Amino acid sequence: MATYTCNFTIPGAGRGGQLTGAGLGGGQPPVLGSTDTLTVVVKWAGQNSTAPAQLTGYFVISAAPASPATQVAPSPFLNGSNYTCFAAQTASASTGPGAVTYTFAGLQYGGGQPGKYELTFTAQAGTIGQPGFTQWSADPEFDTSS
Amino acid sequence: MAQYSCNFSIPAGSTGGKLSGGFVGGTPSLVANNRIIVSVVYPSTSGNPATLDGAFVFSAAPDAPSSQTTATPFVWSYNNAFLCFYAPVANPVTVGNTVVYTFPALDYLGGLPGNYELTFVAINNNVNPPQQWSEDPEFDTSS
Repeated sequence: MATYTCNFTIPGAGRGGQLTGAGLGGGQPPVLGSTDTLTVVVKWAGQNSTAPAQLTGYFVISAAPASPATQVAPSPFLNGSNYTCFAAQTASASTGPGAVTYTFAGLQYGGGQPGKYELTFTAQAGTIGQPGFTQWSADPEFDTSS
Repeated sequence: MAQYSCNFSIPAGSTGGKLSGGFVGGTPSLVANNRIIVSVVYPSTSGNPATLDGAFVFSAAPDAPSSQTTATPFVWSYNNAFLCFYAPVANPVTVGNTVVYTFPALDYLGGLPGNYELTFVAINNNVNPPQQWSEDPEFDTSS
């Protein structure tokens, strides 16, 4: 069971926008095998004192632009027998030394859905309509094997 | 004010998967004060969801230039922050032998030119586990 970590960086407080950072696989989409997990770690690059206590992560999965026409699955992740195309998770700010990070539990691949996929991820600070509400997004790709 | 329709369909008999369809007429290029409206067609008036949840996520398109720093051309009205994720709910409207769910429009206010991708998920949360369908069409904006 391997864990593939998608590393993003939030530049700091502001209007939100693009997540930066290495993303997934350093430019080469990783290939998840059965029981592997895809996680997301977000680093806050602003002043630690301005970091939110918690982030909400929205995981949206779709077929990658390079996926073959024969690929019928929009997502390799399942909930029961149904595809998981959307999941929301929360992560708390780290409390150790150094930069503030947020580690999301991520999604586990159960196997049997080989293909090319895209994770469109949004990190959200705060609550819609409240002060400090901000969103950032990015969309790395990944592959799965049987 | 031009309006660009993004019309998706849920494949008959499916309990999740890929949506079919996309922007009518191909990749649109929005200018200031244009809007996007997403609709989803359920192929039957029998067994359709009581409501349909939408998950809209905006990101830079794969062909966006490296100089593009924005992930979305849309902003929240109350604080002008970038709108990357939006989760409205749509009610059913029967149209012939189908049911249509139309989500609230998104208005492009201008000033954020670029190449973008809408990753959209239609979610039937009225069943457990939820049924989900997704697709990710692209669109452009100019100043």
